[in-house]
Amino acid sequence: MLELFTLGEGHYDEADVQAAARALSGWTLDPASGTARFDPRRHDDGVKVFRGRSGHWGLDGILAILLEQPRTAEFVVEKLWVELISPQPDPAQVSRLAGVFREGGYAIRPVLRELLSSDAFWAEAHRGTLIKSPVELIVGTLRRFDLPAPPDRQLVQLGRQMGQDLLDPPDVKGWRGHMAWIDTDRLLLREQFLRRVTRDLADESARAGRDWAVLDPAVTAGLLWSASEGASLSAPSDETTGEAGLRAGLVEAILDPRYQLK
Amino acid sequence: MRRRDLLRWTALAAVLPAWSGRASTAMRPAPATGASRCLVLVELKGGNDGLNTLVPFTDPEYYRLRPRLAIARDRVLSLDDRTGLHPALRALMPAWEAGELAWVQGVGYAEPNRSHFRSMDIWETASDRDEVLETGALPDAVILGGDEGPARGGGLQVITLRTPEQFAGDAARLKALEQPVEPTAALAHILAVRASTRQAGVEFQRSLEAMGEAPAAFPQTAPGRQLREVARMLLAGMQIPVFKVRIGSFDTHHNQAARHERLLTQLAEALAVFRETLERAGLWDRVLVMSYSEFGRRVAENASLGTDHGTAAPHLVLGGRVKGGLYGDPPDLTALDGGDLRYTTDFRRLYSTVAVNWWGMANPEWQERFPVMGWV
Repeated sequence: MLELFTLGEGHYDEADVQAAARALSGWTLDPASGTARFDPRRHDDGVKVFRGRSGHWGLDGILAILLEQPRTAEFVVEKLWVELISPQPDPAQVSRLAGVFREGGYAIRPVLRELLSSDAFWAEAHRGTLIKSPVELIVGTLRRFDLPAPPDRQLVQLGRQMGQDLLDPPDVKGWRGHMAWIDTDRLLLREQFLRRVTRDLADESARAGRDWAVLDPAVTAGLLWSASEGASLSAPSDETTGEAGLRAGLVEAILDPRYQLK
Repeated sequence: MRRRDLLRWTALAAVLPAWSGRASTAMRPAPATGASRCLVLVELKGGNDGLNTLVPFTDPEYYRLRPRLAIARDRVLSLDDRTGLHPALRALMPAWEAGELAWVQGVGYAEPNRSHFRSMDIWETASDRDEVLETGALPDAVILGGDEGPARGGGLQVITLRTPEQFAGDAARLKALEQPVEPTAALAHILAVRASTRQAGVEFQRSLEAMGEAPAAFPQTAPGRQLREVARMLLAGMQIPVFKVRIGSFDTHHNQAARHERLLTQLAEALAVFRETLERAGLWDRVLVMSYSEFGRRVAENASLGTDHGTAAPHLVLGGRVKGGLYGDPPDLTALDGGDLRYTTDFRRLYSTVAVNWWGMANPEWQERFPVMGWV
């Protein structure tokens, strides 16, 4: 609770861990219903000192103290930052956004709105600095290009193979994300998926007479990697004009390693 | 030598200069002196309970602190007159009797940190506790069972795979790319993984022709499957300095007994077949197996029939050149530090021993700080 979800490592000590453990005593999991249950007979109601505050703390008391600590809001904002903006949170901006988060009673929507409309989010320097998660890659690609989705079961299996087994992170810390999404095995699976998808894209569009106007070259480039300057990393395609050219350009763009970024 | 340099030298990456910087593929074409020797790291993910692995069966404190979880004295497989193995490790006894299995006792580090995550960082980068290093400890490694772990970080040639065939086939389908002018760190990472995948894929393809099925039947368990692939690559003559496999989770906070027994059985049985396979192929003298885990567990059992995150633990070393026996001092159960074992062997002495005695890379200053041990 302290290390991974509120304060972060280095912002509490072993005495806090022990005080919190005593405060949480009496809480058990009811395996049948999967819900938490409180048994007062098994609760240690003595005085505990947690983060320098003394009292007969129980679960609510500990949570109240944690939510008062500025560090808790900062910790959550940092997580949002490294998921949405860049690998290196800006402490001044984190502190400002954490203030919004805390003052909004820890509602996610206001802080997310603030974060997504911040200069940092739109800054050119932060484009392409993060790596898409398997879910972003799989679901994002299928939705963005309106592709026929394989059965859900296959999508879940794909995510699992790429390292993101939905609802089952590797441990309580969750997925490491970012660079950890890419190792040789996972990169191969991602590229394999994208090759298959681009084949589908070509086939499906040929059949359905898709409206390729939405995919004019400028829009395509903007959609895919506005961070990149210059040409595609892969060999230039022969097809350069008309719908076929657009389609070839799109396929090339999706297969470009920069498509793996966000 | 400055402190930082010293720390760098304690990481395996730094003690393997011949492999870590020069060559650009994961394969070593020319087996130089020690280059054909390999290290197989076995990660016991989750923090293995050392006291129920290498059991101090004459110690009354052990039985007093573990009234329900202690391994009964008559079930223990004796190694000497006071130390024995969990019965689930029976499959390792032939290696012990052949003098090819060593246990290093009380392995740990100063000022332990009970976080799984920080503890793994310490092990895997060989860093001191107050310093997080960016680069992992192992160069040029093949990872089975997922998670690069010790090889995390930039600059290392690391291959993560399920089977060599699948890897070679997929790698061959990657197109060559030009290098962009100023890639972001994320893009540079993707391109580096891509490039090493393509290169290694070519080498794997070449080796696949020499590669048969593993002769012995490996158990159908996670460690069995992973060690089977390692054995096949070794049998095919692939020169890879480091392999890593993984078994877990050993994070046995609740109802430890059954799970711990199952995991140890899987581990021992897979290692036994691995040993037989390589012995028959005449390769066993070139292989060193070493376990690691983020920490041991607390001495006293908890109220949920499990054990919580602790400190020191024993680790096994196995191989044809290993000088079997017990090394290091067992931690004293009557001199605990807040209920935890005090470590007796700095874990970096394991790396130091591998570097110096196994790969022949001497470094006097660094050996002075982490003296080599005698098990290989």
